Formats: sequence, C-alpha cells, structure tokens
Amino acid sequence: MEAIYVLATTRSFRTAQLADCRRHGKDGFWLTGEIAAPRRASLQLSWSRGGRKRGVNGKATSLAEHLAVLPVVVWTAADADLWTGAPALRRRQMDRGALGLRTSALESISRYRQALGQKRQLLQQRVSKERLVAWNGVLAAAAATVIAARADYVQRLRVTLAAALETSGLNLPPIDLEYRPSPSVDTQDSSQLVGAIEEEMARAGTQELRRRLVLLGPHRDDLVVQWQGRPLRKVASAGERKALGMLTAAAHGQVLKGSGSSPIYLLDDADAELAKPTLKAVWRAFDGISQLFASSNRPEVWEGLNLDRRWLLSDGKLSPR
Amino acid sequence: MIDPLARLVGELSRLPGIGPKTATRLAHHVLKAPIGEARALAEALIEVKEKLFHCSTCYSITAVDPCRYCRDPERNRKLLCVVEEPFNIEPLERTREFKGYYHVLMGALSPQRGIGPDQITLGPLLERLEGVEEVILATNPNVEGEATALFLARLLKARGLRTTRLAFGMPVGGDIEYTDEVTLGRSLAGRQEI
Ligand SMILES: [Zn+2]
Repeated sequence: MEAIYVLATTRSFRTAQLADCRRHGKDGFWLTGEIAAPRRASLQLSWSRGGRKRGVNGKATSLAEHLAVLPVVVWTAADADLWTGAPALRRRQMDRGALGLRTSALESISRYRQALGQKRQLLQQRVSKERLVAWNGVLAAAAATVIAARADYVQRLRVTLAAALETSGLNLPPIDLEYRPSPSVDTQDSSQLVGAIEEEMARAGTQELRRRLVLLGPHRDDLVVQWQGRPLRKVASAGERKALGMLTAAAHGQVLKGSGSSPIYLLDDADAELAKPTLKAVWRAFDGISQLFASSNRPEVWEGLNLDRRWLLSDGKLSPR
Repeated sequence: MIDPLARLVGELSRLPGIGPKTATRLAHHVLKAPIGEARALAEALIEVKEKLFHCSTCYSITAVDPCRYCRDPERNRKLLCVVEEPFNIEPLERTREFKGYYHVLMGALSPQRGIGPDQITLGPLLERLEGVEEVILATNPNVEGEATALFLARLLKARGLRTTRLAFGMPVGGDIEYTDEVTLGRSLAGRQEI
C-alpha cells in the first residue's frame, strides 16, 4: 500500500524521508505501475541518493501532472485523530481535497509556502511595517486561491460526509462542518478575496512584528466539526471519533469521484480498533467504489465483509487466503 | 599538492547546474583535448573577468562604459525596464518589442537569502528616474520576483510613475530566461498596470 501511495503521490504516508522506504541495505528503490482506467497510463518513481525521479508514460512531467494520473484516498492510524487532533491534520486533509479536485492547486499551495517562509524570515529581522507590504501582496494572492480551493472542498465534503453517515446506519447525531479560514473572510465573494485578505494582513502588521510570527493566512486555517452545536472532541467517544475518521475517508473519495476521478483507496490498519458491528457499518460507506486495499492485524474483523481477495502477510511474504 | 584533475573537477562543480558527475566528465574531456583547446578555454575564462564589468548606469554586462544599450540614442527615454539579472536583457531584446532602457537589479528580494533593498541596485535605480514615465517591472514570475515587483511598484508610484508588469502568459514560477521570445513579446505588449 505504501508502494502504491509513493508511486501515486511521490511521498510516503509513513515517513517524511523517501530514504526510509528502501529495502534494508539497498541504495535506492524503483517503482512502476500500470493504470488501466479511466485512462491508460504508466507511472514511474525512483529514488536514490541523487534524489527522486518521476515519470508518466516514461517521460518526465510536472508534479501536478503526475498527481493527476492516480488519485488516491489514504487512511492510516494517524488519520484516526483527524477531527480531534492538531489543526495541521485538517489542513492537510483540506489540501488533499483541494489537490484531488484540481492538481493545479499545487501551484498556489507551494507559492504560499514559499512566500510564508520568506515573510517568517523577514519578521526575524528588525524591519519596518512597510517592508511587509510586498510580501503580504504575494501571500494574499496565493492565500486567496488556497482558501477558495479549501472552501470548495469543504462544501462538497459536507454533503458526502452526511451521506456516508446515513449509509452507515450508525446511530450518530448529524454533524456540521465549518471551514474557518485565516484571516476570517467571506469565501463566497471571490472577486474581493485577495483585497480582503491583504487588508487583514496589513492590520495585523504591528502585532506580527512584535511577536515575530505570521499571524494570518491559511497556515492557520481550521476545519471544525460540531455535533448539534457542540465541538466533536468534547462529545464523541473514542470509537465514534475513529468511525467518523474512516467515514471521512469514504466521503473524501466521494468528493473526488463527484469531480470525475476514480480514486484508489488505501486503508492501513483499517480496523481502527473498532468493534465488529461498527466496522461493518463504516464499511458500508465504501460500497460500490472502484478499488480498495486494506490491511489489518486483526484478520477476524474482515469476516462478514464483502471482499474480493484476501492475503496473509507472514514472515515478509504475501500468500492468498 | 592537490591532484590537478581533482582540482579541475572541484572548480567545475562549483558552477551552477554542474554536479560532481558532470564535472568529472567535463574534466576528462578537457584532459583528452589538444592543449590549444584547453588554453583557449582558460583564456576565455580570464578574459571575461578582466575585460567585462557592469555598466555604471544600468548594471548590464559590458566591455565599454556606458554599455551599448545606455549609449543608444534611438531608445525611448520615457521607458525603463527593470530586470533581475544581466542575462534577462537578451531575451527581451530578441522580442524587438521593447525600445526603452534597462536597469538590472542584480537580484531579487529574498529575506531567506539575506537579500533586502540594500542588496539590490535600488539606490541607483531611484537616481535615474528623471524623464522616465513608465517603469516595466520584468522580474521573474516566482515568489521573490513578484515581491520585488510589488515593492518597487509602491516606491515608484509614490513618485508619480506609471508601473507595469509583464502579462505573464509565461509559466508562473518560471523564468524570463526560459521563456520563448514570442511569449515574452506578447507579455511585453500586454503588460498591465500594477
Ligand atoms: Zn548600461
């Protein structure tokens, strides 16, 4: 599953360093995959000390083009805390969504990161407020695109998550998703977005210089889930939160599907330590999707689920069951 | 004494875009070449350092001061085009769209690389604005280039100048250096006020 993920996204969901993905004692690794639908294509990715090399149909392409070939929906144990853990998890989720809808969002996300790094450095020097203006201009332009893309994704996720909850039949109260962009701006008014963000940034300048921190921008966005007006983290049990985490993966996939892509699902440690009936309910939300790989170290949880094939991984070898 | 081959490889790999592998290949190429060829290369290297320098007005690369652009009386005094590096001028010249003068900033603002307004040729730029009506900010469309353009635009507009930016149909995040002349010509013609 990690190999598929690395091939599709050029990153690992387990480690920040691709070096950690190679086999013990090897200098690098090489991955290739054939995609049959919706469009035939092949993907290549290799890593050695010289760096990573990407390929689509054997040719070097941009990262955005590479990402568009094989959309993936991933769920790992780390995603179990999606709704109650650090906001960074939810920002990552929103960016996965924004990229899944339009790989061109990558451009704005990376521009925003670069400009943010530059402004952070500038705030470490003793500069006048004037010096921030140009960087705020660049940041606001990129931020507006990032915020609009995240808002679009959240709006779609709200619908598909409600549907996934209903399909599961789990007895959970209706949830409400609220995207809280930073700065707090009206995301509906796209023509005024850049100007509104820039204005807020200018207003925060004095504070930012004093605290030497970039106080506004999508790096401080959050996505809040509420159950009947109360924050999820206060009212949901650990099991409910985990179930909701997996349902989000299903809902995320439906968002991508709704925009015309057919993602492949990778669920690592997919039992999420859930009780069997809950897992079965959650599983219903994944019904009718194109291709899904899941792993668990509690094989008994698969019983009663609708699976095409099962393998047992033992002593580093896969064998059909 | 350092092994002469290792020394050459070491010097070559300091050049931008040259890794140790390419440096080794180039060094072996030089080793196999006739002495005359190697000498010509060495002399060319010395010559650019001894004979070429930055124009005292626009900071382009030249062998005579002022440079051929600054000396050209046919150019439009009202138009000034600001670029990051001397090598950004040539692609703009090739478009034949631009008939004004140039100013090379010798970099772009980048706090992470320690480049602020004092590290670029901002002072000399502000001193040569007499008679200028429009400044075209042709810095690269990447984050540093955009910030530099916005920074200059504010300063120049406060002095009553019209400031414009190339209408980049060119790949965002790309370089003027790698943009073909047709695209660059179009971005010049379609430049927009900022
Ligand atoms: Zn000159």
